[in-house]
Amino acid sequence: MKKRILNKKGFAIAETIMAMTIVSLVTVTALMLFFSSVRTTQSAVHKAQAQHFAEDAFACFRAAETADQFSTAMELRGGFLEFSVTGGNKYCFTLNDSKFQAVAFVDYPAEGRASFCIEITDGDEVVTSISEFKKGA
Amino acid sequence: MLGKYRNRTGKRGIALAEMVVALALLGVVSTMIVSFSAIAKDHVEGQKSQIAFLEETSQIKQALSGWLSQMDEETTVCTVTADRLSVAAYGASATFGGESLVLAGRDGAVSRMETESVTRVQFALKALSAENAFVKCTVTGAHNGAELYEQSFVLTLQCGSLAD
Repeated sequence: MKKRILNKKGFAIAETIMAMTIVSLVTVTALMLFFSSVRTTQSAVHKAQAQHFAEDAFACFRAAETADQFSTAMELRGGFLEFSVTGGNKYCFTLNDSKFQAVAFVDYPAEGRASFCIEITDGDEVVTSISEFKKGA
Repeated sequence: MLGKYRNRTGKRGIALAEMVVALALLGVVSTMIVSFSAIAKDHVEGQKSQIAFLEETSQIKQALSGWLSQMDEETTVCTVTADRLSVAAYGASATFGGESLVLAGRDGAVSRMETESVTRVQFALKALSAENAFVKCTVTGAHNGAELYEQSFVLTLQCGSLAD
């Protein structure tokens, strides 16, 4: 009788470990699902904001008549952390919140039509883009 | 049923201490689950309202762009106050107040767009040069009575400028 009771004590530990493992697995799965859904929603919000940014950069291009005016328009519009211009026509922005990289090429030649294109990326993934557009076309 | 259960000393039944410990653990686990689900619910509702806010902002932007496309002059003189954008030459105006955007077109037609998460739309005229300008719209949204979200977009004419 005493032996049986001792055996039962050992079995209870195995049961406890199994129960704890199952509870942990369920908890971890539920948490992973929750955080994955949070990340997905946040990513959708950031992509929508990036889309707004690309459309606004395009609107600024349409409103401006020179590269300086485009820069001023973008500065007034805001929504980015950093902003740099290289080669006079390549504009790089780091967007607020998402930290997405936006690269816009804007050209207002002395003669001919002005052209614009923008691409917003998250690492290697292209979030949104507006392919080349010529003003007045 | 409990008669079959024997504790370490071999006595039948469950000791009061064991019962108390089990109930305490159950209480702790239940409290954790309830508090986590409350936090998760708050978080999910916050995200839902942020998405609703972005959707309404897109709709406002689309409505304002459509309204502005009626003004097709080379240079359109518009007047801006905080919550009102008007083009006197056409008798057209866009106003946000009472959780709705009211658009009065140049043909006299008035359209109203109700919003749920957007609480404010503010307009500001931004000059790029003496005869070149655009309008910056700042949309503010609230969740649970607190203004949490803000999104800006710009309005321009297809061709020409919104001169001051």
